[in-house]
Amino acid sequence: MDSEEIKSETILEIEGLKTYYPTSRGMVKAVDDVTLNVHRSEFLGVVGESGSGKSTLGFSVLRLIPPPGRILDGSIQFEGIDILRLSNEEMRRLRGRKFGMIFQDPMTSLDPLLRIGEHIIETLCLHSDMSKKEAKTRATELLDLVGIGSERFDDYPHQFSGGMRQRVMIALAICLDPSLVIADEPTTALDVIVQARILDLISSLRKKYGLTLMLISHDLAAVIERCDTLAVMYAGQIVEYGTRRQIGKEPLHPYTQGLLKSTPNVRLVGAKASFITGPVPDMTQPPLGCRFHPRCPHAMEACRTTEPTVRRLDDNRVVRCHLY
Amino acid sequence: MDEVARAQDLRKYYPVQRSALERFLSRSREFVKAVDGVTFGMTEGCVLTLAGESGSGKTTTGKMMVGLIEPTEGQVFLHGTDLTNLKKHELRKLRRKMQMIFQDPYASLDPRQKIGDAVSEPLKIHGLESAPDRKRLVLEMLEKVGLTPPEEFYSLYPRMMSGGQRQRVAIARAMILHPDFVVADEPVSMIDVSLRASVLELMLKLKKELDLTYLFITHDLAVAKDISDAIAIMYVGEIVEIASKEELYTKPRHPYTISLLSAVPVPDPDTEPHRLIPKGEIPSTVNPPAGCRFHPRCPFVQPVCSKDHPKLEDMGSGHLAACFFPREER
Amino acid sequence: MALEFSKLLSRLVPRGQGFGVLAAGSIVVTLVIILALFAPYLTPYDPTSTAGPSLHPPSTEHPMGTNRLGYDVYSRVLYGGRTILIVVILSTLISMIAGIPLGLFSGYRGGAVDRSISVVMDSIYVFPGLILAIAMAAALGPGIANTALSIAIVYIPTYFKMARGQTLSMKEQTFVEAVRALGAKSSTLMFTHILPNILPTLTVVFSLNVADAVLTEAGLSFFGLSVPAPTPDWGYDLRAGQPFLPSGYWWLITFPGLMIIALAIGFSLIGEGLNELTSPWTAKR
Repeated sequence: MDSEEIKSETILEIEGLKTYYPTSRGMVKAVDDVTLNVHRSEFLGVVGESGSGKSTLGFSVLRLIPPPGRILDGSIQFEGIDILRLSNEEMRRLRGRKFGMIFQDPMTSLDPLLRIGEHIIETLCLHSDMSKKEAKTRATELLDLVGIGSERFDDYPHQFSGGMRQRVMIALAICLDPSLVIADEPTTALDVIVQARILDLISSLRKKYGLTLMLISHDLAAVIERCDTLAVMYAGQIVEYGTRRQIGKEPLHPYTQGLLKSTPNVRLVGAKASFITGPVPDMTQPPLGCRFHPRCPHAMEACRTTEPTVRRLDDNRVVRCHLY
Repeated sequence: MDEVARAQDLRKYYPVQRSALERFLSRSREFVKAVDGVTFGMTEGCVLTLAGESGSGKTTTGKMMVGLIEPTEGQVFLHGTDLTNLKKHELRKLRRKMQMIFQDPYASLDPRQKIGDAVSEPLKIHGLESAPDRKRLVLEMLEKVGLTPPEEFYSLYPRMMSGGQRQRVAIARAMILHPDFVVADEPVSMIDVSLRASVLELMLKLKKELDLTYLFITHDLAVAKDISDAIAIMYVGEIVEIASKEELYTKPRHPYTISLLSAVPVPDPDTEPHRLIPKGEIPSTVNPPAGCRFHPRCPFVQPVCSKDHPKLEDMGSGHLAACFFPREER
Repeated sequence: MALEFSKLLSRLVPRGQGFGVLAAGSIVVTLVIILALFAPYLTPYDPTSTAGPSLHPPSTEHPMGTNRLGYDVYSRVLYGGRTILIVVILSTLISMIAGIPLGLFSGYRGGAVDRSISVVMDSIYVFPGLILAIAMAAALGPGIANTALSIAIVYIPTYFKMARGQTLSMKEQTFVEAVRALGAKSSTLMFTHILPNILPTLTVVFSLNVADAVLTEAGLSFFGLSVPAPTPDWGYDLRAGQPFLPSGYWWLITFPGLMIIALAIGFSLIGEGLNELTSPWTAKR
């Protein structure tokens, strides 16, 4: 499968999404007008730094935004269903069956009193009509798939290392053949070598089962290495979207360019990473006009006053910048 | 050139906690061998990075180098003085010359202290300067680390500042005594990528201005590349390879170094990964594998590796690696 | 006892009502303080001399009636407020000055020193408060200072434990390690850095503790172990008025009794309110 091809069937359509959190300092506009489509079998990477809204985006799709934060505006269509109109109960069922979730800290997602084999069996039985026996077989298969031997079936979460626990989370995420797997910083807390292995595992499982994957991460290098397409977020908005080649070789948005230049390359010994000047945006009062303008080397008069519109370019890329 | 700091056969063992029953049943104690025989020296102006994953002992080594942790065995030398032999008050006086910058800018500053007070505290502690002179020095320092206008920042509390700004405060606080030796423990790992280089640049600028010597600790080999002169790769409490930056990144010899480098993601879609991922997990530091500690995971393991413990050998031009079969690739 | 009060209250207080609770408690306590402070302006009578007929029920001249000796109950209630407030505040100050630095020091030093001090403190702590206070008061004798001391002893372990516990967790914080790396002396670390950070918890403990001390003082004076008669003292008046209750002389114990309850509840509410306000505050961040 050519990773440059973007499959045409859209399974997730996010349109004009706005998710805000009230805080004591003001209303944090975490996600502020995001439009994004995810196609079947696509491996999408959502990249951004702190305050970009990338995690909030993921949580919004799963409708796991903790109150008092809420989704204020926009629509999220998943396989034709309007997610924002579902009741809590319907959403809960959907989450189990159609969405796979992998979060950063596996320790808090796993019940410390349940053996991991039981975890998987429980999830399977809860969301499908498998018998316990069938579930056990499937659970063993899944653990094997993620590289955990059957001898560890009856171990408790605390007996596993961070990397192993994350493998369990992956097994749980894919056990019901979800239509979309959302992984939010799944490897951030892990050592370098384990990170590579987990991401390799996720990539290979995806290839094998044609999973649709949305990887949310602050690590631009990791995302460029493995994803098909990238969406770059800044201050609650998507500023650029394209394939990994497009973003990695010819980034258009000045923020993407800056971010790429700030990401060091281990293979280039002589080169040095640079940085983006200027203040990090205050999400309760983001800059007027283009949100990146205070830090942009190409800022023009228009950038200070008008918000740039999202433009789709010929090669299917999307940019949000007055330069284009 | 004078050696500023030296670690000599440093070891730090922590006893494993046992219940009263366990202590009653068996006499033998088990230890977490966090650092197990680390030796290196640093000349003035050098930036040495200790790089490794969790359990490598890099942070513990760093803390021993500034006297925050007492070594179980071995010595730490600062300008030839053995820290391990000093009395408490002598050590306190020597602290003026060695400082530490911590990883978490959100945790390393007292939340109830204005940053002006935080940065002047080292001066107060060592009884230097009168109050108005202290304020002047603090303002100068705040300016130097890029927190301008310094008068404004002087009266702020940490919670009013971003992570990057707080880290600059921590740097200012460490530098105000004009130390000779600074240990920086993952100083940028909790800062956004697009801001890291500015903090690293600041650290290098201060190094030149104040004639500093840095011991840099990180798990991120990409960051290490931009700041180091020399790098020591640590694994399960030992240094397995140590070389100049160019040597290490272009001609790594130890299989662990090679796998570590191959695992770091590269932001270039044209680069082929060429991963060499060792199997298994990082072993426990309580009972590290016999012989070479990396041997159970090493893709190039030979029978002798499980029996004998390799020492750091010179591979040429000061490049040391602890391996019986160092690699020649790349 | 005040702890039971506050546990009951916390079940009644819905989340987010911290301010209301704090306000209610503060109003009650402030009222009592004002009444005690301005006692001479609020009543013409001397609480320790006969002001009217003996055992007269509440009337216009004596809104709370008179006691067996003809003293005006209202005046005794007002001036009694002074007694209890002085004793309680004094004892609390002593407890804090003794308990908190000790707790800081013990928690910071750790090791054998910490263990030995903790053992002593724990033994005092498990001893039933009122009984210990009674024992101390009986040994020391009557008087404001002695009473304050007796009550103080009971509560020193409370402040000790709180300060020690907080110190134990604070000393592991990175910023403490950082200042230690700068070469700070232990005393600097304890008093300049750890102490200010444990103050929020301290204020909560303080308020709940004062409520408890109020009840302990009332208990002591009930047994006549507090200030000597005829100094106005609510607990003492309770005891003195008690035998007359079966005969229908209700005003002798009702008013002092109500004041004791009001003051204790007032401080408890302040403590509860502060607790509400300081914990969700930290949770929201």
